[in-house]
Amino acid sequence: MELLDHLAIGLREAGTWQNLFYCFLGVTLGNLLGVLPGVGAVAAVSILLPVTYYVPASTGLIMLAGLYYGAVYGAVTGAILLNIPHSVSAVECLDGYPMACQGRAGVALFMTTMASLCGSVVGIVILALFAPPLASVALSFGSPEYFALVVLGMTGAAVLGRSSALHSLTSVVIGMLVGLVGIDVTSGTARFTFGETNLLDGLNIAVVAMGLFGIAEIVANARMSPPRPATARITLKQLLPTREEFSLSWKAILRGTGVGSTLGLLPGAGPVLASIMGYALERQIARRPERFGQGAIEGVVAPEAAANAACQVGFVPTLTLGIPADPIMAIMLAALTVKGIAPGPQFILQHSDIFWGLIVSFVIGNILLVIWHVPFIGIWVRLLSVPFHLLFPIVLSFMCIGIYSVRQSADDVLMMMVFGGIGYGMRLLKFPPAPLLIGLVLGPEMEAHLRRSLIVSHGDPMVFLQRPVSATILVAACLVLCWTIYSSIRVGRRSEQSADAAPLQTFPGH
Amino acid sequence: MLAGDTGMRRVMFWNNSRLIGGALTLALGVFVLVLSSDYSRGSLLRMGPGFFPTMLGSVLLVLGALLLASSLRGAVERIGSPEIRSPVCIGLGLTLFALTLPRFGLVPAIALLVPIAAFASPSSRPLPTFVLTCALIGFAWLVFIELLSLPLVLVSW
Repeated sequence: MELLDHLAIGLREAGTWQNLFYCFLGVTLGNLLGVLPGVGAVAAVSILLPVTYYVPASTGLIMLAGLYYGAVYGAVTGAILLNIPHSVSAVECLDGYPMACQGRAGVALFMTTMASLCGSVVGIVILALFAPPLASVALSFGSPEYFALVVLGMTGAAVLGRSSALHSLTSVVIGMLVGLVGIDVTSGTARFTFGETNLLDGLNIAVVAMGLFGIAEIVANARMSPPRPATARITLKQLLPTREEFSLSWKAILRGTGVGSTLGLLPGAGPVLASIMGYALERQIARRPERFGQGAIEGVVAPEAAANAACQVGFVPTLTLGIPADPIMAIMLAALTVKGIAPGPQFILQHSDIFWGLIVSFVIGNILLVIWHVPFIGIWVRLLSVPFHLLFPIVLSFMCIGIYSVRQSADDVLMMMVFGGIGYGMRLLKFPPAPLLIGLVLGPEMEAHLRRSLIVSHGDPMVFLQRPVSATILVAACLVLCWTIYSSIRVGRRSEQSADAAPLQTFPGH
Repeated sequence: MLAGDTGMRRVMFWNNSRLIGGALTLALGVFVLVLSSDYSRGSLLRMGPGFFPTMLGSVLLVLGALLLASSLRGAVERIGSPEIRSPVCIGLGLTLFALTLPRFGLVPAIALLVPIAAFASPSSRPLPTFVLTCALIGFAWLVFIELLSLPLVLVSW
C-alpha cells in the first residue's frame, strides 16, 4: 500500500534522534508555556524560532508544530484551574472552571486530555488521507484560483476571531500593508521604508509576531496578581471519571472531533473557531442546556476535541495551499520559506520526506503529550502558581536574545518593541492581532497572484469570475464577508444593552 | 460611565473605542494613499508598485467609515483603561537592551533589562529580582552561548 510506504518514509524521517529530541522539546515547551498564564504559544515560538535557523527544515518544522499542538493541550489546564481564557481554550473556562470549583478538576483534566488525543488522532488521519489528493488538485490551480483562495483565507481570518468583523478586517488590511514594506520584487521600488535601509528586506514575521503577541501580552498583564488555582493538589485517583461522566463525554468528544475536522479544512478557520462551534453545538443539542456554565463535562471535552482536530486538520490548507489557518502556522510557513522551501501544492510532492515525517512526528508528539500530561498533572498545577512578575522578565529576555541572534540586529529588538506598542494600542481599541499576522503573510501572495492573473488575462478583471473554481471561491468569500459585516453591525447595536458582554456573545450567530 | 438623564449612554470621543478606531483607520488610509501616490500605479495589465497599496488604502477608508458609522449608531464600546507603568518600564528595558547588547555584551544587557522590566509589576521586590537577574545571566550563558553557541558575547567594552 502506498500509504504504508509513505508512513515508512515518515517514520525514518521522524525517528532520527535529532528529530525525536526536537519533537520532545517542542511539545514539552508548548505544553509548559501553554499552561503558564499570560504567555501564549506565539511567545513560545519566538523563544525557539532562532533554533530553526540552525537545524534542517524538517526538524525546525517538527519542533514548531509540536510547540503549536502542545500549547493547545496546555492551554486547557489554565482554563480549567484558573479560569484563564487563552485564545484556544476560552470556551473551556465556561464549564471547566466550575468543574474545578466543585473539586472535579482531575476528571476535567483527564477527560480533556483524552478528548485532545481523540481529536488529534482523527485530525492526523484526515491530514494523511486528504492532503496529498488535495495537493494534486491544487497543482492545476492558476493564479486566479490562488487569488480567490487567498481572499477566502483572509475572509476566514476575519470571521475566525471573537472580535467584530469590521475590526478583524481592518487588522487584515493593516497586516497586508505591513507585508508590503520593503522592495517590490517586480519593479524594484522601495515601498513604505521611510528611507530606512534595514527595512528594504521587509519586516521579519517573527519580529512582528513577538511584538504583537508577546510584548503586548506582557505589557497588558504585567500587573496581574498571582493566580490562585481552584485546587491545590490533584491525586491520580481523582482523575478517573464516574460512569455517568464517561458516557456523557465520549459522544461529545466524537461530535467535537467531527466539528473540528470539518472546520479545520476551511482555509482561515483555526482551532479557536472550532472550539467555539463545538461548544455551541453541545449546548444546542443538550437535553438539559441549563447545566451548561455550571460544570457540564460535555462543554469541556467537546471544544477541546474540536480545537485539537482543527489544529491538526488545519495543516491541510496550510501545507497544500500555503494558506495558514492561524498566526503560528503563518510563522511556520515563514520558517519554511527561510529554508528555501515554498509552501504550496509542490511541497508534498517535492518534499514528501518532510511532509510524512511531520505527520509521524504528530503521532509521536501526541503520545508524548498524553504521557507528559496525565501523570505529571500535579507539576503543571504547581507551575500555575508561579507569580507572573517573576515569569515575564524571563520570557522577555528570551524573546530579546532570540530575536537579536537571528540577524545580529539590535534594530530588530527595537522593531519588536514598536510592534509591541502597536499591539497594545490595538488591544485597547479591540482590534484583534491574529488577522494582522495572516494578512502579513498573505498580502504579498495576493498582490503577486493579482498581478499574474491580470497579465494572463490581458488586463481583464473579469478573469476571476470566468473561471469556475475561482468564481465559486470568490462568491463563497463574498457571502461570508457580507454575512459577518451584517451580523457585526447587528451585534454592535445589541451590545448597547450589555457593554461588557461575554466574549462569546460577540461571535456572529451565537 | 456617564449616564444621561434619559438613561442613554452619552457618546464621548475618548471613551468610544469604535469612534477612535474608526478615526485612526481613516487617518491611516489617508496616510497610505498619500504615500502610495509616489509609486506608479500602472495599468490593469501591468500593475505598478502603487496599484495594490492604493487599493488597500481605499479599503481602509471604507472600513474606517463603516467603523465610524457603527460607532455613531449608539453602540458605545468603552475603551480599556491604558496602563502607564508597564509600557514605560518594558519599553525602557527593551530600548536599553537593544542599545547595550551589541556594544557591551549579554551580561549588562540582561542586568539592565530584567530589573527595569520587572519594575512594571508592583509586586516585584528587589531581592527576588536580583536573584532572578543573576540566574538568568547564568542560564543564558549556559544555554545560549555554551550549548546552542549563538553568536553572542558575554561582556565586552
